[in-house]
Amino acid sequence: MYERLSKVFACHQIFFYMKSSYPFILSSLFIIGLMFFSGCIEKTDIPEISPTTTIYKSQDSNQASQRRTNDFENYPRIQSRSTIQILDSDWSTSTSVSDCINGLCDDVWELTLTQKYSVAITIQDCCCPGDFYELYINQELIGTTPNLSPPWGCDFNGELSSGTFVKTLCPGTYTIVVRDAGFDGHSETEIEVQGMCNAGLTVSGVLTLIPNVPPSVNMTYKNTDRKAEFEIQDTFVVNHLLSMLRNVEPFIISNNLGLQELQSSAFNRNTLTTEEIEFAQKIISINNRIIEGALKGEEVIIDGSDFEFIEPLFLYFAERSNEQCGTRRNPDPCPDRIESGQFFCMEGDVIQHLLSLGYHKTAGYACGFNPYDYTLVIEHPCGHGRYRSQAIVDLLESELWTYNTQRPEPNPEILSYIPPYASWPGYVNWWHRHYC
Amino acid sequence: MAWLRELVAPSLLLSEYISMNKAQNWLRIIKKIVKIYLIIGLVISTFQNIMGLIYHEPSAFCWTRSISIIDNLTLLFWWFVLPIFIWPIDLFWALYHKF
Repeated sequence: MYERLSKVFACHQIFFYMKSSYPFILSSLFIIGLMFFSGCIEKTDIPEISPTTTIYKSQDSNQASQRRTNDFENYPRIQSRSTIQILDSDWSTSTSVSDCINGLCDDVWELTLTQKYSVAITIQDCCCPGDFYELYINQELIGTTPNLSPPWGCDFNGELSSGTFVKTLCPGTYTIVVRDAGFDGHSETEIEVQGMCNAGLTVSGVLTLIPNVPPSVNMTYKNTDRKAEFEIQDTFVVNHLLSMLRNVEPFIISNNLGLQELQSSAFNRNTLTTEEIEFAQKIISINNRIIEGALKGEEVIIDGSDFEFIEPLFLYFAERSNEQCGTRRNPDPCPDRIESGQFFCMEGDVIQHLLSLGYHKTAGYACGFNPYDYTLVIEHPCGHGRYRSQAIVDLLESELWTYNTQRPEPNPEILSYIPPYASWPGYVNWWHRHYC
Repeated sequence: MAWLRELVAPSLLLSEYISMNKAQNWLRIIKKIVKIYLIIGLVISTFQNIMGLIYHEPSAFCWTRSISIIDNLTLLFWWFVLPIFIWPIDLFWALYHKF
């Protein structure tokens, strides 16, 4: 029975084969390695836009992480401690630290934001060297000004600690607390002898509104096959040029010498706009240079600048003349990933935004169940459904959500449309894994 | 002539046996090459589809969320079975466009 089953499944043959052809297995693994490590499968690092910049970082990261969970409500409050309310505005407060044990600042700032802001908070020590400060927003340590001691104490002269911390904040209310960490490691007597308590400092904040930047319209495509870079132009520009070309063509005639000229009726009937007349004259000028050169038997030197005004149209025609659907031999160019420039406070907001643009969550098989992969089917000469715009939702270090797009690329949701040719699904798979 | 037949016959059988053995050897080598080819393809295809799951790329090892078995089989065929057979083509074009 066992032998019969073995024969059916031929498992023993495979094991025997593997044993006997060990060199071949090694060579196969080498080929696999070649495929994967030569860059055939390249993991694209999605660039992140981080609007947050911390000018001074924490002096002691371990200490900082320990204090991240500090609950300031448990610190002994002092009588003079007050809360300063700020609503969507800059501020500057000269304050002091009279809590000689914990070093908590006498003031707490309650910042209320109704929009997204980049908040730059500056802490400047007032008087004695050795004081340095920790900044907390909602009990999270944002940063620490540099500890410049020694010298430490009011009996000494030395540089005073200061620092600016920038953080992007979404709408909401934030509690800002400052603590003098210069007291740490010093006894009450030391602090008293050196006159370090009360400590004076200035805390100021500057708010910069973060606008949502609309995504770029023009996209640059890298075509590694043809070893050239070209731009697919904005449809509006191409359509405008096409329209002008159609309008001026009937008015361009050839004279007895074979040279081109613009019919006088073009001016008389006022059918062409000034822009169209200029456009026609440029075309006629170039054509006549070529014709004159040909008539005289001379070489005409024409460079790219002569065609600059009509270049988008040439690129458009060049693009259209290529194969409509990609193949392994002539694959679709790998488009650059374009940052949307739009930032959202919540994950749901960015997803809602993508859904409103017509995107849908990409099928699991097409993206390895990536929960942040979205697809928008786009029109393409190859046919409906076969190309898509991919959007990847991303969380920035500043805790803001954004997304980037990549288009056009062969749609990996191969079960949702009819392939243009039989081996198209194989090509799509190959393109995503090995080409782009 | 009987003695001659007796003398030659075994040698004829031997030559037939040798030629038959050579043919079997060739067949065995061809089978071996085919097996090597398919196993390389199988390893590559399996590896790629697993990597697809890990790195959020297309992968045939996913349920298409379709009750229709045809969808799942279609996916399995195009993204797993076919690459087993055509892996040199995929490899060639990948390297061609890379370098």
